Amino acid sequence: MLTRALAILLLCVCLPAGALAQTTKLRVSTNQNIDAAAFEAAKANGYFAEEGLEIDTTPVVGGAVGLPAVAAGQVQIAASNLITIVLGVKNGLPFKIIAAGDASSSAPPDLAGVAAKPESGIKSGKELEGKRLAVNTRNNIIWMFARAWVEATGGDLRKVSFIEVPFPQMVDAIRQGRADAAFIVEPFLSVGLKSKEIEVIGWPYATVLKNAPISQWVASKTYIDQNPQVIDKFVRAYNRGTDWINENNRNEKWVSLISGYTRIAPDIVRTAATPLFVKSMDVGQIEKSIELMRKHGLLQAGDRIDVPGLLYRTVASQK
Amino acid sequence: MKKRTAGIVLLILLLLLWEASARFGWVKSENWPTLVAVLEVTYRQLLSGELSLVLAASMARMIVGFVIGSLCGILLGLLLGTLRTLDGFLTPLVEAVRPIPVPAIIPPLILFLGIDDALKIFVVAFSVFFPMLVSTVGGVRNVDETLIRTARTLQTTQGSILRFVILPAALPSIMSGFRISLPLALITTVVAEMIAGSSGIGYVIVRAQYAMQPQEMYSAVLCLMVIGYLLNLLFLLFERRLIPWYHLSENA
Amino acid sequence: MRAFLRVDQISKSYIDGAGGAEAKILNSASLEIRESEFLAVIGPSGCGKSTFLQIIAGLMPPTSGRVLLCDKPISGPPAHMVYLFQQYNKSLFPWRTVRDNVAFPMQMRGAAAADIEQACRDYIRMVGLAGHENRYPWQLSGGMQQRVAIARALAAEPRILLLDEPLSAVDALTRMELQSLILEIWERQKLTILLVTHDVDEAVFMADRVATLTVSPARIDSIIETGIPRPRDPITTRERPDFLTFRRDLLNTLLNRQHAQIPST
Ligand SMILES: Nc1ncnc2c1ncn2[C@@H]1O[C@H](COP(=O)(O)OP(=O)(O)OP(=O)(O)O)[C@@H](O)[C@H]1O
Ligand SMILES: [Mg+2]
Repeated sequence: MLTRALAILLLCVCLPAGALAQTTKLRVSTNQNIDAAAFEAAKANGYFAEEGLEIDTTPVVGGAVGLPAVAAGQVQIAASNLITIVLGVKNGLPFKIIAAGDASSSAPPDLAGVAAKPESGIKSGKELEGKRLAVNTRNNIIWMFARAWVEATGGDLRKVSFIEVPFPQMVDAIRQGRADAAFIVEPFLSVGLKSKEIEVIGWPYATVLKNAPISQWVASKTYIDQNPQVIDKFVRAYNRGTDWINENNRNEKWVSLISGYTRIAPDIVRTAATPLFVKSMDVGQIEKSIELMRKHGLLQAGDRIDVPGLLYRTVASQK
Repeated sequence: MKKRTAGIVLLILLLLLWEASARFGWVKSENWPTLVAVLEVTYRQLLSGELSLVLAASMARMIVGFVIGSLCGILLGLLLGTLRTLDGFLTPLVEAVRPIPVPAIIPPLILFLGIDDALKIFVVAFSVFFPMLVSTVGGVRNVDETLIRTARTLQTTQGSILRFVILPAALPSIMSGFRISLPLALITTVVAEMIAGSSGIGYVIVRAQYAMQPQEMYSAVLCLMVIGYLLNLLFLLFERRLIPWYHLSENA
Repeated sequence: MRAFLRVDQISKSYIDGAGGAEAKILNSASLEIRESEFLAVIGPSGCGKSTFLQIIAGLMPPTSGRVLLCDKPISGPPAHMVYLFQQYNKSLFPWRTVRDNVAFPMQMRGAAAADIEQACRDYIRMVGLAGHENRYPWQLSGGMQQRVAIARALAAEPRILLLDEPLSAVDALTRMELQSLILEIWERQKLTILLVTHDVDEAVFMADRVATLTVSPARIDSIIETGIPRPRDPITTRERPDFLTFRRDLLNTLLNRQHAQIPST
């Protein structure tokens, strides 16, 4: 009895120490949408495991949940979007981007577009004056680019009302007349287009900022400082996932991977437009995004954002 | 009995209307599945055991949050109801916090509680706390002074008066608080599960929405309705056991 | 005889409504109650009888003056003194059955379950409610409810019983039955009873002495000792010439005083 208890005690003392030397547990929060494809590929292909990382994924909705969880230390790494990350940094939450995620393309079809009923006659921001444009949430990346697009296509922002509709309900909102147009992301956009009841009237990312940075991976400064080699391992594995996604673009393995973790039917995955999965970030594009944030009131004149300081050394950057 | 049959007939008619509206395309939307498809999914998930796992996760959170929230509400309610001095400076605070909608407090709460069960349980407890507090205070304030004086003249200590007179006398009001907060707890659990995590009805609903699997979403909604109905039934049974005198004396 | 219970110049004022003006209800009322006696206090409706009795019961502090029990001033309800409320329907616990209502004071004392069981049966039988143990108060008639209240008061093992118009809300026949029941219990348990009532007939029939409260602010006006022999019979006692005399005299004082009040108000 006693020897057995001693053995168990010994096991308890030795096991964690031994295990720690080999694998590190990382909790990562993601949106489980297409933006997480490279991450899921790295996970499914065992790239993280090869680096000695054990990944525990927590799905969240929207970029605004993962970041506070990182700040609270409950999650080590989270996916979010540039706008939300910059807002968090402005509010004093110490984040750094450790890996580039994805970016919009430079020409349509893009990962998101503004759609309206063909018979509505709405073709640009100008015709949206006095009408309702649906975005998923105010004061986020979608809202900002929708505004920039309205302005760029001749609309007066004071005359366009922005309403909040979750992505999955946007097509129905247009159909039922609850919104006159909506800035819809994939795959909801391509599925909606199939019904021929809506059509794309604009591609805000391509119009406003080609190759706009969309989603990125962040960790807290404290965690990075204490575990630089864990971050290195994560990013190394993650970048291999990015390569895999790019090399296998739309082949059957690629479709079944994405359909597997998103649970979206393979047929829909196959036809939906995807973002560009990237390993580096363009500082100029980040600065342009921040400029847009200032213009649309997400940042005040006095808010100073240190762009190079935003990027940890694991993110390759170009000027 | 007649009322119940009428209710069931109405329910069946509504379900038939649902089926027809989806089958014949009266409602045109990728998000509007036929009832048959929904039931099919429900049946499949019931067999695979996935459904019971999902429901168990939600129910566990709901029950823990509900118990914590209502216990705190009742205890503080008894205190506020009986101690006038405490009432003076706590009531303004309570009144200030009460109207805060749950979704509004979630982002800052994540900083303290994270995104796991602590957050979800707290949010459920928070939503249950106020209706319980208000109904308990109301119940305590409405206890007839004669009952308390009777207990005093029968040599009852302050503590015993609270336990044996005020609490049972306030019980009908506390039970009406339960009745309000039970569905509230269920809804809040689902809302909290929609924010983060990978278990529970709320998560299934969001995931199904974003995966464009509406039949899965409505299957979860259907389960939610059944649970809500069963909870209410359970509550009525419980109430009848706990305060039989109340309903009977109302009729007397 | 030494004063067993002494009411020493008590006055009581209520803050009246929103205005905050003080209404004086009792004005230096004094009274001495002897051990084992049956003392009735009569006064017109609203003159402050309940206030007077609740102060004696320690349920309400007087504005000035004090109440002494065996020469000790009381603060709070003293042991062995039970106040029986005028509104019996509001003073029975509606969530407790007859048995559980009667058991209440014994439970509060921490009596053993077996003793409680036995005592409940005895007290319930004493007030004539055997067979109704498991019914709820609201399932009983007014007279039966007051019997439950009496049984519950007895279960507290009082030496002094303060009765606040206990029979004013029951019908005439029931009232007579209960009067006899209370007298029987008083004699059997060797209680001291202070009965407050506006019913002169009841006061003379039940009490050894009858005190009169004047109208507001009330004070004890006169005390008479009847000396009507016991045991008293609901019919024959009421036919006695001395009973009728006391009754007439008391009614005269009460009514005259009220007549005298009219011009001044
Ligand atoms: N808590 C209170 N606050 C203010 N005034 C009160 C209060 N309680 C009683 N009073 C007033 O004091 C007076 C005497 O009341 P009390 O109940 O003692 O009279 P009573 O003689 O018992 O009347 P009744 O015969 O109707 O029972 C009444 O005028 C009443 O309105
Ligand atoms: Mg009275």
